[in-house]
Amino acid sequence: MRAGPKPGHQPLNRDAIRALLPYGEDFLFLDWAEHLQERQITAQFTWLRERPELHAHFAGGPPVVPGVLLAEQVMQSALLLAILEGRHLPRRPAQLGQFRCEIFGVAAGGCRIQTETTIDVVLADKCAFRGTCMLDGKPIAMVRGIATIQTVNTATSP
Amino acid sequence: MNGPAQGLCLPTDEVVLVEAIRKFVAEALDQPVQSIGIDDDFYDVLGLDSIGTVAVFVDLAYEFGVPEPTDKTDFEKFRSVRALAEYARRAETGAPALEP
Repeated sequence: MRAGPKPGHQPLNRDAIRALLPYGEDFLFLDWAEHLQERQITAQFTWLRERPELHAHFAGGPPVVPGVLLAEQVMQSALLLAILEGRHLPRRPAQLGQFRCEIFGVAAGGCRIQTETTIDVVLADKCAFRGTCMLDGKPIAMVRGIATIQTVNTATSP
Repeated sequence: MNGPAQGLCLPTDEVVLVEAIRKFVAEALDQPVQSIGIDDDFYDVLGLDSIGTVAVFVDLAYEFGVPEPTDKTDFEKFRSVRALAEYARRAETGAPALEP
């Protein structure tokens, strides 16, 4: 049984995503998401040039999205996927146990990053995920990680 | 993005399979392969934690298409390289979960 919407339903806008994820406005790195099929989600976020962390990344340099925030963007989409599939409770954080990120492109301020994320393995309360950050259709970062999630009992979840 | 292997594709040579799993376990533990005995208990002897266990199953899925066990009581039975190799072979034949 699944607690959230089935794949193929309407894409989620930022308001709907905010209602499901535990993050505050300034740390929510998803504007839009679509649950493509079981264990797979795509999402987007526009990194506005004005964001202070982009300007602070390289003092005096051009605004660039820090790689660790690209990894965070993938992880947030993975958590959203886990929630949509009833593997985790809405607005409840997950504990990230391990992650690895390879970055091979620059995300300049103002860019829109699309992520494609899958859940690979679920064992008890652990969930392994993998995602790619795309800029203009080209991959610029790959992220994989393992998080502790709380499996939802759909009979008792809110 | 590469995903898990589509369908099971285990090596026919048992030694190759066992050595691959030893490598996965060694990487999860950040230890040399030579330090991993095929009958060493993952938890009591090698000190593998739950994150490491998932990492090994991710490698099994991506390398050979081995599906993850579906519940906790199953995967905690796989306590050695040899037991994991047997699990992979059973998955290949569609046999039910491994008995402890």
